[in-house]
Amino acid sequence: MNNRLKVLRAERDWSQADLANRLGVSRQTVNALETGRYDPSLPLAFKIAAVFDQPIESIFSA
Amino acid sequence: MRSQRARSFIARGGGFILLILAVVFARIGAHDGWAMWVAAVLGMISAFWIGGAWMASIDEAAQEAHKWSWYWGGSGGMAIGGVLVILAATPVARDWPAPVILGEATPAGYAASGAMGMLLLMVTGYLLAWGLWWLRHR
Repeated sequence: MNNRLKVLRAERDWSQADLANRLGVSRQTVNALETGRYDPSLPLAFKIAAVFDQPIESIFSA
Repeated sequence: MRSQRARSFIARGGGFILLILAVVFARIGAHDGWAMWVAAVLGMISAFWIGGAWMASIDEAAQEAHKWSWYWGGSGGMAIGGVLVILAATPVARDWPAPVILGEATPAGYAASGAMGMLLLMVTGYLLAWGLWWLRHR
């Protein structure tokens, strides 16, 4: 699964640690998400969408 | 967030209190057998309690790593141990040495050693799988 996490984070000038704090996960998890090596659960995907204030489908794609 | 931390502290604290009680009963158990039963049960409840509180405190990727590792690594270790268990129940193992790694050289000690040997294999597999999971997902 592909995602735009890194782009969205860069647009807001957030570090991985900043995003991790907002999501309530570790920085390693954010890194794994950004590199596409870990697909989030549905609750975490909704949380990511809420943090970036965007619909899920605009962040994740198959 | 604050109440979450408080709940986490209470959850872990309860486990550690049980662990301390287990140690106290284990010391009494050196003289009274019943206390050793209590110590063993309290020790395992506290381990499960602390482990549960810790598992609930880590994020979903870390939880997934542990679940994946326990299934694949633990099962792999159990499969290796299973070969030894099957062979040990056949005449093939008649002359095998039976090391006692836990307890005394009694039937119960041999049983405990066998169980501990299986557990060591499962934990070894689990740790290897856990390292592999993070190598693949970092």
